[in-house]
Amino acid sequence: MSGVLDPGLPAGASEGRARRSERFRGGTLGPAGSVAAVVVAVAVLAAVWPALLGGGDPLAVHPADALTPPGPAHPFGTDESGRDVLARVVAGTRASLVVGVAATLVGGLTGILLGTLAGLGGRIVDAVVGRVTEVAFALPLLLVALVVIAVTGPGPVPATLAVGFATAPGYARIVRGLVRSARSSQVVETAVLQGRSPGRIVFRHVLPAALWPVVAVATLGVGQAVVWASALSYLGVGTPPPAPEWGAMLADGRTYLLTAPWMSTFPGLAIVVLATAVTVLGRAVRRTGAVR
Amino acid sequence: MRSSERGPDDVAGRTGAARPVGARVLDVRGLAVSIDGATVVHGVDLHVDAGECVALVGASGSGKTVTARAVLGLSAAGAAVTADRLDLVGSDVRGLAERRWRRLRGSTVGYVGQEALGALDPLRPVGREVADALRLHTDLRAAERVDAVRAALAGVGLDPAMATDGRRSGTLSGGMRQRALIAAATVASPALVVADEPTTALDAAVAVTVMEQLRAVQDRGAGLLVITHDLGLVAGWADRVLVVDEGTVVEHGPVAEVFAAPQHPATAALVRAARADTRRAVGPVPGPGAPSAPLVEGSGLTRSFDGVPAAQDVSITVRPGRVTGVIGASGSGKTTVARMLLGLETPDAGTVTLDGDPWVPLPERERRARRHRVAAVVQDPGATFDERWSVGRVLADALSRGQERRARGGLADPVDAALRQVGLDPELRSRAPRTLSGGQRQRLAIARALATSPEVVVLDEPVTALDATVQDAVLTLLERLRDETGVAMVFVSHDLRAVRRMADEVLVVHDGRVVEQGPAERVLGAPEHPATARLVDAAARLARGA
Repeated sequence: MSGVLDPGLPAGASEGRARRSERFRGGTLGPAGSVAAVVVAVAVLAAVWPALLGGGDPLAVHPADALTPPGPAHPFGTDESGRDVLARVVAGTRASLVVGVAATLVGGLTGILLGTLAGLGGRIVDAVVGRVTEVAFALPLLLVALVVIAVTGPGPVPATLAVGFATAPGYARIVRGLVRSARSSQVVETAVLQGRSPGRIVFRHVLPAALWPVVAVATLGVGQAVVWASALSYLGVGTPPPAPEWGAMLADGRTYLLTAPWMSTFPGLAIVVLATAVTVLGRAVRRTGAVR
Repeated sequence: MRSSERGPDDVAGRTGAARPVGARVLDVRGLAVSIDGATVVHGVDLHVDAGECVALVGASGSGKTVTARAVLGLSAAGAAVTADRLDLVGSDVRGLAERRWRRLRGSTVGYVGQEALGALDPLRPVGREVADALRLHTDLRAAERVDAVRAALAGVGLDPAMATDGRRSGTLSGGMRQRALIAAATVASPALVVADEPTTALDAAVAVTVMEQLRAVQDRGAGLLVITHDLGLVAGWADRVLVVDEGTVVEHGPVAEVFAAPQHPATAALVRAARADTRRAVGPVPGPGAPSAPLVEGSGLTRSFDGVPAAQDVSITVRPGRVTGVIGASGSGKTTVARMLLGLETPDAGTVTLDGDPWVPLPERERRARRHRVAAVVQDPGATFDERWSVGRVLADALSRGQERRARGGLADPVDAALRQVGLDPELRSRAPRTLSGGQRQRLAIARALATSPEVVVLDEPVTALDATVQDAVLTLLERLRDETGVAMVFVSHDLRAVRRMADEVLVVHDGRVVEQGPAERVLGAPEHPATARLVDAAARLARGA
């Protein structure tokens, strides 16, 4: 079982403090991880309490100040309606983070459900689920998301579901493999020898072995989901204007790319920085061994 | 070192020992190795002359492998090696660059590692693997190389055609791979051959041939440094022995002397483990009249995998409170028989009954309620523990039949008692099984197996993966539990020493068939079938070194 699985995960809160400190002794986040942690912390703060960072109303229109370059009054400049870009970037953090986390949850849970079904089910169930997820996996992620949107119509919730369903096949494949190898592991064989019922074996040994590694993969997936959610808004099928959303802001700024490049530069930077920070942090946390 | 004591007489104990004993091929003085600041080996003096066999013996963790790897320049990253002297065939190799070391390895010093399964590339033909040393270190032309490889393969008793027929390591058995490794290590005629646990996990018959090949290398004039945890193994094969304990050489001298009068406690423990070849004290005398009804009875068990028969028409009877030994060479089908008794493998034909009631073949559902009467212990219990569970949870789960997760309340005392029963400190409760040593893990597996008060325990090679001294301790534990709890056992092993200690009756499996069975004393003392005789003889030769 080890080698393939080797999750070596926290054995629950019951282990006590000694055990926990032993786990974290593995190492610190490292320089890159620490920077990423700060960035993510700032992003979370911006999502919870935007006024603290950016100030200003993201929707307040000041036609007189339209297309002002970055300066003391507007550090990130203003857009074509005179709205402050900094305020909109800060306000857009919430949408991006919420959609990123929610989409990952949707994708992870759907994937876990499908993967567990395929891993535990008989040959036929496995074949059906396997073929469906493989076909979905073969299609570009954005295409699957757009198909979902075509059915549900645009909006932030459909966009979240779309990104979630589009990422689900990846999680399903991981879970299926982990469930399969856990099923044939010596741990399960030993439980059979002890006379444990199949249900108990699944809940005590198979699912814990399969699910925790997926949680680790999902922390990396949040960064990806942020990018995909912004992409859908950029295409105009996510969060509708005038609500501040990074992808939508990018799309707005496209028209003024030559005259007012700050309109698209700053939201674009925000997407890159947040996605990178979440991914780097996920890896750093995994390296410390707290979540493997 | 006691070089003055080493006269030509030292080797006279063996028949026809007219080997050239000559130049010093390895001379180490004051070797110290520290890894990440912690000193693991210090003050080791060691020398090997051409044509002699020196054994470095110690329990695991004693520093013997670290020493050997330092001598080969293979120390792990983060290891600091210092020595007053480190001469390989007369030249100083201290602080040698990796590039220079590569020139020496294979040509001047050959290395036979422990993991024969992993040391050969599964994707390259064995013949090419063996030829590597020649390709790297000699100017031989291709045709000459093939001839040399053929000779080397023939020298270790392998088919010379393997030099060119493209056969890969996957098609070879464990013993054949180990011999191929010896061929690879010696094909370029190195002056020194280092063998790290060359026979661990091999059965006696294969181990004897491997040791014979190493001796042949020695006879050709190479110095041989054998590293092992089993003093019994080197007793008959080595000229001198160095006992390592906690990173220092605690005792050294000719094998016979060390064996006869061990000075250091670590040596005494190793000697005791090697000598622990006592027979089973007379078991519980079967009641007068008819023997008790069989507890587990397998009859006509047959199983094949992909058309290859693993067990054919095997019948086995286990009586309450008795120990049935199942012996046989590796690959003879012992494990398949054990798994069928446990209901883990469904036989193609044949049945198993438990106390007269059907047991196999049966849907698992109908066995579940009776599972607590039958328990199992396997060779490597590490993989049988859920990595997320603590020692306490493993036992709490077993004792409560899966109802409880924690060793507290009414379960605290039973869990502690279960740990104490197998000689483990109750303080270990909160540890993860993977942080335990091999011997501790096996004790925990035994505690778990006994938690449900089973009537029979099936033990599949329970001590094979353990150090000789730990083996001795675990066998002593099993003996005690057998006598105290009166549990019946099926003891599957290729290690005759262990079986002799444990078993009342013995079953010999050869090529999937039972070729001999009867009281342990009689079968092991006066074997009737050639396969049994071969096993008994190999074990004796291994101990004797002949």
